[in-house]
Parts: sequence; structure tokens; C-alpha cells
Amino acid sequence: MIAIIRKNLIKEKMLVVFILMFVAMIFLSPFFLTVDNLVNILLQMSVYGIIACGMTVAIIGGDFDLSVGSVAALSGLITVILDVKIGLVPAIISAVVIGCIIGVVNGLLVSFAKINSFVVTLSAMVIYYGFALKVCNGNPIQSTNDVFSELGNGTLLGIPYPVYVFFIFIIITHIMLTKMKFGRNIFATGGNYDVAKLTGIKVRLYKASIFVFASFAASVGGILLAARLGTGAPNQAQDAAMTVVSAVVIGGTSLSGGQGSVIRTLLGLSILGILTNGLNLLNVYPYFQMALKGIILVAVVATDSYYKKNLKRV
Amino acid sequence: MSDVVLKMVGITKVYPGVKALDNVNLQVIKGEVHALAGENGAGKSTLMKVLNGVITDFTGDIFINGKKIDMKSPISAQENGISIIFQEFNLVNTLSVAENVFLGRLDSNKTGFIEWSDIYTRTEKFLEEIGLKVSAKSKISELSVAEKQMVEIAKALSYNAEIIVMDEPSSALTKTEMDNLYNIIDNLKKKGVTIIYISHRMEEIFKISDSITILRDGKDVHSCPIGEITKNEIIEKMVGRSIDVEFPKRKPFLNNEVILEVKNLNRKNVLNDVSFKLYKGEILGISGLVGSGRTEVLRAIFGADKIDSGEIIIKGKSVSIKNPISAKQHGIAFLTEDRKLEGLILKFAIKTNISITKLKGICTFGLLSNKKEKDISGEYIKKLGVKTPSSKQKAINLSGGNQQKVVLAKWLFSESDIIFLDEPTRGIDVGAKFEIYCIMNDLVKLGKSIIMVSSELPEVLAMSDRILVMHGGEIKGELGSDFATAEKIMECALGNPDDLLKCVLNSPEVS
Amino acid sequence: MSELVRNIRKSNINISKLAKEYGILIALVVLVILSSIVSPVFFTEANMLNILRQVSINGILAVGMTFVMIGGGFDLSVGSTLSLAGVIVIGMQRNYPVGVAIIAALLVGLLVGVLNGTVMAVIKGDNGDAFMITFGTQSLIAAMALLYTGGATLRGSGSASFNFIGKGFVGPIPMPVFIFLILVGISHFVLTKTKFGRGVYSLGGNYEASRLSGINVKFIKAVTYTIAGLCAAIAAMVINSRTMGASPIQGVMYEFDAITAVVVGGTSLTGGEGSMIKTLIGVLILGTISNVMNIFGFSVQDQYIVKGLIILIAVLLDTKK
Repeated sequence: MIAIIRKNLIKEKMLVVFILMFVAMIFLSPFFLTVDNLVNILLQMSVYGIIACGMTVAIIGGDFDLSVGSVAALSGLITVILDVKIGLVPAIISAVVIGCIIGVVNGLLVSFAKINSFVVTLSAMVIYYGFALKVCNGNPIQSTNDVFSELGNGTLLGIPYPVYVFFIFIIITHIMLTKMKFGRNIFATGGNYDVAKLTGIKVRLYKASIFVFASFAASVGGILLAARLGTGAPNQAQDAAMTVVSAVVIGGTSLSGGQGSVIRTLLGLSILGILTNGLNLLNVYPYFQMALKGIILVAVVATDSYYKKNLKRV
Repeated sequence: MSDVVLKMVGITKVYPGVKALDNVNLQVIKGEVHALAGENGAGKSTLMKVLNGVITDFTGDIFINGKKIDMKSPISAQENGISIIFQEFNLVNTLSVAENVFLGRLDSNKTGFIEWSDIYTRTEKFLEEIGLKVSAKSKISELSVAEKQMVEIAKALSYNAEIIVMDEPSSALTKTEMDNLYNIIDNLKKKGVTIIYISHRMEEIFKISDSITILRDGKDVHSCPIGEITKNEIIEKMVGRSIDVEFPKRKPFLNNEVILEVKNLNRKNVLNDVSFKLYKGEILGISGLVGSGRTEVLRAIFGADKIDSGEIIIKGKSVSIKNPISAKQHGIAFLTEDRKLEGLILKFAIKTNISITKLKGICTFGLLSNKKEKDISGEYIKKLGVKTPSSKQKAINLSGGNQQKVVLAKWLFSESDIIFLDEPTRGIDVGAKFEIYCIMNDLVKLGKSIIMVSSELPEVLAMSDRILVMHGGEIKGELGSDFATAEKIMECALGNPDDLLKCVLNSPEVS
Repeated sequence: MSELVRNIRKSNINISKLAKEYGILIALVVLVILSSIVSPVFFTEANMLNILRQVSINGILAVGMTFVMIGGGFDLSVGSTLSLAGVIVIGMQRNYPVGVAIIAALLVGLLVGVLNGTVMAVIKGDNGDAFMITFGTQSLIAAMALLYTGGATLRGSGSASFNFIGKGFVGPIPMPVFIFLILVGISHFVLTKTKFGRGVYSLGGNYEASRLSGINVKFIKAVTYTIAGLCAAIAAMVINSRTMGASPIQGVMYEFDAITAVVVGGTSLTGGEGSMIKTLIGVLILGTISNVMNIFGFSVQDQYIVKGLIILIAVLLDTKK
């Protein structure tokens, strides 16, 4: 019995890490285990959490999307700008549609033009950053819409709306990945592209669609972020890609594709969430936090890659 | 009245420079086990790739149950009841058994949603049929080679395959696993499934097959029921000419200077207490089935892989070889099994590939000299007979034989005394093979020592002075060239010789 | 007559091969000619000098990046390294002599490169890993730069000898250009004439085959990243001796321009191919395009978009090859 528990603990070491961190924080700060703080953690996690759902799907499909940050910022900006012109709901819809179109373009370039996804999404990151700068002429734009602000900051039964959207995203993504043919084919495409192709799976289509989903999630996340901050700005969510990839890998999903789950990503997000919250509560300088996140990404990717190479040879 | 379930007529497939299949005819009767035999490169895999729709530009026709089929893709092969189990499995390692069996077909009710319980139940049914005792939920990466193979069979069954092609299925199995496989094949036969069984192992062919087709150099040389042919006749038709002609004559080997000694080489799950000696000027062959550890031994000595324990002694001195750099410094060369991936930098020129092992050698006053590189590589191109217009030609444009010569050239350039050859003539045409054998003889005449890993028995038998046979990471037999025969090697290779045949010819100790 | 035709036909093969090899050079020439036609301001001495100065910074970064990319890797952290080295070289001059500050900055570049290189070498990372890992170090180093100055921008150096780097001339050539060209020259020499340079190509061409041929792949990989870090530090000193100030975020996105220049120049993303001359041409092409965009009053945002498109097109053409 103990052997089984031990085996599972080693397999799920990140869960152990999470529990340890949680417990440590309880001792390190009296403010940690308060309803306010815990809700705050969830709120902080929401925006990047939504984006992380998209990134998880992309990584399972065997690719990355580095442009999610720019897409998020652009979507937030578009919403704020169009809101005054055509109303909030049409503005949100437009922003999401534009996000999806960006995803389609990325997807086509990677899947059909066969360009490396790093290069495509790195360029996209730059291009759409440029677009974001263009639409606002370099200056953040304030939203004067109370409904919008309510969307970002209001609560229902004490829990902020963004958290609900976040959880809905997690549930939808999880169902798609585990219970739908569409999701499982993404696993196949990412796990072994050639074998999947031989079985008749339309791999190019799936490879393209992961980018659409990633951009879609980035859009939604960006809109919520703008709602929370009450402003649209081109440099919002700049570190989204890096943070989100970290969360995915920390949660235990391998970067090589074909495996993973959004629940794992949730775990990774929680670990990062507690870390950030903890560092804030302990008054650690924000630049230290940035440095720490960088170190974590390096450590996490290095370990993942190292184990990937070692497992191959045996 | 036996039904012909498959008829392949006049199949010809030409690649630039080589005719892989030359007017091949194959006729298979329903419900039989039809063996497809031939040496490496005879065309067996190519023919099956044509059957499976992987290769689509060929001439000839395919008839299934009398109907002509246009085999456009692997999917049309599947639709026509053909399933192939290749040596490199077509499985997604990160997914479960059930998901692999039903890859791409997970939603039977077209809603987009998956009934997992249904999928698992159906998978378990197939697994039960073939006696595979693993959970349908287990990940492929957790299974053994034998189990993965059975998943492939289950997959074929799930497609209601009429014809299952198995490509060298027993090459990596233990005896028990092999017997299990034969039982499964028996059961499949009873259900009316036809099996095409590719193998070069005589014992097995005679044990399970009903008829046999032999390929050689892309042509079908013989087809008949298994009862109408003997083992020797099969080998003769596979090899095609008597052995003396195919290999250059070798001088008998006489030397007792041990140039390399390996003691108790151990690598968990891979090598188990491997010890042997290499004498100066000898060609030591290492034989055994795929997965028996032959390549791993070479890699371990060369420092390409880490070892857990063991001693390496070169010219009497114990050395520590931690990586290929120090192996090279100690005078060891290693021609890898996969020359395209590990032996050459395909996008580089021949001369750049040759100079890589001793950049010092193409330097003048410490700086790389293009002239020196061109001259030296030109010398080797001539010496080894590499067919190329210039040393600037990219390696990727050369034929297999010429590529192998370039790899040889680079190691000759490094002036190594101990040369490891891993499947040196794989995928090379007969003419080039002979040239390489001559080069090997020349090398040992110059005092170099060679260890050759090979799966081609005629080659091992003809070229080696001594033969080590490995199985399961251990050395199971050591045979002197006069005493060695294909059967003896096979017996040791399968892991259970009746007595360990330890015959060493010409060793002064023995006499 | 037929003799002539036969000779032309024989040399035709060489022409198309030449076109592939030097296509970018032709592209550059065409670009310059077009720009001169379209804008009278373009082909003036002042503007030419301007372009050269502008490209020097990116050019120096591209030199280091070329080593990394020929070796099959990527370095997304050079921009942050530039920021960090820059603030250190300026910041230290408050309490230390110029020479010490310069050495410290170079050391910073070196150490960042060693860090990247060691991690990449140890994990035997491929292309993809390089992206992620240097993405991470980018953040780490950027944070360090911000920590060093507390987010503030430092005021420039008052030392004339230091500012000579950015403002001085060697004959008619501005110092930054001089440094850039010297680096190109040295690097070209190293890549084509030294065993190390050949090792970089090999490792990029086929890591495993090179390893099994006895090439010290881990060491060479680590050194390529070290060179990139060092170049970033040198570029920092050029910038900060000109701009009279050091901002901890001055290098943001600089790696992107460097990678673009290398790719446009024709170095393949997969490694094993490329040359310093090609990078030089790529740098000049990029610089010319930027210059023309400035002349025509393209906004910063439009330039971002154009640059993003350029690298996409360059890679697309590379893939089609």
C-alpha cells in the first residue's frame, strides 16, 4: 500500500510541491490563508490561465505559440476602441474574431507552408505588437464603460467573473481533450505526426487548428485583462507566452507533444500563482520575481529536455 | 479449390540508380502463412510498401480476391483488408493501447464525442483474442517490444484484416514470446486470416509457413509450397552464388598480439558482463539478432554511451574512454549502423565529411587549407573508388555504397588502428560490397584490427576470423571461422545453445 | 557561333548556382538602386554614414548570433544581455575607472553566454530547446538589469575615452562601424580558417555525426553562446557611449533584429550553413529597409510589422529552397 502511494507521489511530484508551498505560505504569512487573498490568487491566475488553456492544446499538438501575449494585448485594445463605436458586445465579438483570424494565419503558415512554429509565432508576436501600437498610436486607451469594468472586476457570489470564465475554459478544454475525437486527434498529431497521418487523420488540419484555439484563448484572456485594468494597452500580457509555457511544463506536460492535460496546467498555474502571491505578500521586489520566473522557465525546460533525451536512448 | 487472396503481378519499382523491384510476381492463397524470404536489400520491404500503399509510383497490378485494386494510400490498403506490421512500429508512444488500436476511429457514433468504455471493451476483446495480458489503458511507452507487436496485431484485427503482413516480427523476441507469436498466427489462420511472414530465419520459416517466395536483388527467384524445398536450397536461392565468388579470398589469420581487450562491460538492461579480446590484424565478427546488444558493445567501447562498469585495455594499457573524443585519441574508429544519420553530414561536401576526424591534418600553419583538404580528399576518393565528379559533391547525392566509402575514408584519415564496423554493407549494391570487403582485407594486411557487427550471415562467415554471437546483451558463443556455420550462429543467437561452443582457431593457446 | 552558345550553355549551370549563392547580394544592390531612385535623400554621404552607424549595433549582435545559428541554436537573450552590460558599464564608471567598467561589462556578456552555452550543452538541446531556454535567460537577465538600476535610466559617461567608442572616428570611418567591420573580419576568419569554426559548422550540420566523429560538440556549442554574449556586451558599449545614457530596457527586442539579419542573409535556421559575409549583407539589407522606412516617415509600429513580415518571408524562401 505504502509502495503504491510512494510510486504515485514520485510520479506526481508537482502536486507534492504544490502542497508543500501551500503549507509553507500558511506559516510564512498571516495574510495568506484569508478568503480575500485566495480569491485574489484565483483572479490573478484567471487571465493567464485562460491563455494557458490555449497553450496547453498547442503544446499537446506538438507546437508553440509565442504570439499569445501580443494577441491578448491587441484584443483588449480592439475591444476598448470599438466599444465606443459599435457597443460592447459587438466589440468583444470583433476582437475575438480577429484573434481567431490571426490563429488561422499562424496555423496555415505552420501547417501548410511548413514554417517552423517558433519563427511564425515569433514574427507574429512582433507584427501584432506593431498592430497594437498602431491602433492606439502608442498610448494606452482608457475604457469608460462601466459594464466592461464590471466584467473584469465584479463578482458573483463573492467570486470575480474572470474566475468563472477561467474555469469554464478549463472545463471546456478538458472535455475537448479527453472526450472528443477532435481533442484526441490533436494528441495523435502531436505524439507522432507520421503515424497519425498514416491512419487517415487530417494532421495538417489539426496542426492548424491548435493555433486557432491558442489565439482564441489569448483573445478572451486579453479582453478580460483589459476589463480588469480598465485600459487597453499594447504592452499588456507581454510575458504571457513565457509565463504560460512555464505553467504548462511545471504542471508536468512535456514539450515534446502527444501528452498532457489541462488539469496539469491548472496545477502549474496554481504553483506559479502561489509563488507570485507569496513573493508579493513577503514584499519581494517585483524585479526579483521576474528573475525568478526566468530561472524557473530555464530549469523546467532544461529538465524536461534532459529527461526526454535520456528516455530516448534506453 | 484454394482461393488466391492476393496476386501481385509484374511489380517494378525503380529508384535513381537502382531497380528495387524488377517484375516481381507474388501469389498468396487464402488462409495460408506465406513466407517472404530474401537478404537485406532483396526488396521484401519495398514490395510490402507497394502492397500497403506507401509506395504509389510503380508499374504492375495488384489483385485482391480477383479484383484489381488501385492502391493509392495506406488507407486504401486498409479498406481492402491489408494490414502491415513493420519492424518500426506505427504506434504513438504517448497514447494508450486502446487509443492506438482505434487511432483515428475513436468516435464510432459520429457525434465527435468518445465512448471510452466502449472503446476499452472492444480493445480488451481483441487483446483477449491474441492473449495479450495488458490493460487497454496502459501507455505504449510502458510496453515491451513483444507487447507492442501484439498491439499492432490487435490493431490489424480491429480493421478486420484479411491479410496481415509481418515484417521480421521475431527479430527482437525471446523464445517464449516467439512461441506465443506462433500460436497467435495459428489462431489467425483458423479464422481465415492470411499471413505474409517476412523472415530470414530458416527454422521459423519451416515451422510455421505453408509456402514461400524468395526474392533476390529485386527479382522473385522462386515460389513453392514449403514442403517442396530444403533449407539449403532456400539459402542458395537467397544468396544466389556460391560464397567464394562473392567475397575476396582471405589469408588465414595468425597473430597472438592482443590489441584490444574488454573486461566485464556492464550497462544496465543492455550489456551483461561482456568480455572479449581483439587480436592485431584480425577481423572479429559479432553476430546476433537485432537487439542482442551488438551495436551497444561497440558504442560502449567507443564512449558513445555511458557504461556502468567495465575495463577497456588497449595495447596492454588500461584506458578510460569517456567520449568519442578520447576513443579517437586511442586510435578507435567507429562506422555507425546508420550512415545517413550518424555517419555523414549529408548537406556537406565529400571533402568536408572526410576531413572531420582530423582537422589538424588539413591545416597549414594552424589554419585550415582548402587546397590541402581538396588534395587529401581527392586521394581517398581515388583510393577507395568513390564514384563522384568532384570532392565538392554533397554527400546526400551519393549512392549508398559511395556514401559508405566516404565514411570509411574519414576514418582512414584519422589513422585509427582499431576499426569498428556496424553493418558495413547494409543497403549497398553487390559491386560496392565486394569493394568494401577488399578494403577490409587491405586494412588488416596493414596491421589494423577490425570488429564487424553484421546481420548478414554470409558476410560474417566469409569475412571474420572469429565470430562472437550475442544474445540478450551477453556473449553466448565464440566460434572460429572454420567451425562456424550459419546454423551454429543462429543457435547461439537465439539464446539457448545446447552447449556453449567455444572453438577458437589459430589461437596459440589452443594448439 | 555554336561554340559560343555551347560555352554559354555550359556556364549557365554556374550562373544559376551563383545566383543562389549570391542572390542576396544582388538583392541588396537592387534595393540600393531602387531606394536611390525613389528618394533623393538616400544616396547621400550623410545618409550612407547614418545607415552604417545604425546597422553597427545590430550588426555586432548579428555577428555573435551567426555563430550560434550556424551551430544550430538560437539566442533570444542577447537583447537583455545588451541591456545588462550597458547599465553595468555606465553604472560602474561612477566608482571605478573606465577600464574596469569595460572589463566588467565584457565579463557580464561572457558569463551570460557561458550560462546559456553550458545549459544548452549539458541538455544537448535542439533548436526548440534553445528558444525556450534563452527565452528564460532573457527574462532573468532583463530582471537583473532592472534590479541593478532600480528601474531608472542612468546618465551617460563623462569619460572622453569611453565615449570615443561611440562617437569617435578612425579616419573617415565612425568607430562603431569600425568595430563592427573588424568583428566581421575576425569572425569570418575564425569560421572559415580555424578548426573551431569548422567545428561550429559540423555541429550545426549534424550534431550526432559530429559527436561520433570525435568533435567536442559540447564545448563548441557552449562557446558559440559565449561569443553571442560577448558581442552583446560590445554592442552595449557602442550604444551607451553614444546615447549618453543607459536604460535597463534598452535592448528589448534587439535579438529579433539580429536573428532577422542572419536569416535574411541566408543562414539556414537548421544550422550547418551560412557565413559572416552573408550576415553582413543581411545586416545591410535590413538597415537599408529601415532607413528607407524612416525616410518615408513610417512609424515605429509600422516598422515592427514590416520587420515581422521580413523574417517570415525570408524563412519561407529558405524553406522553399
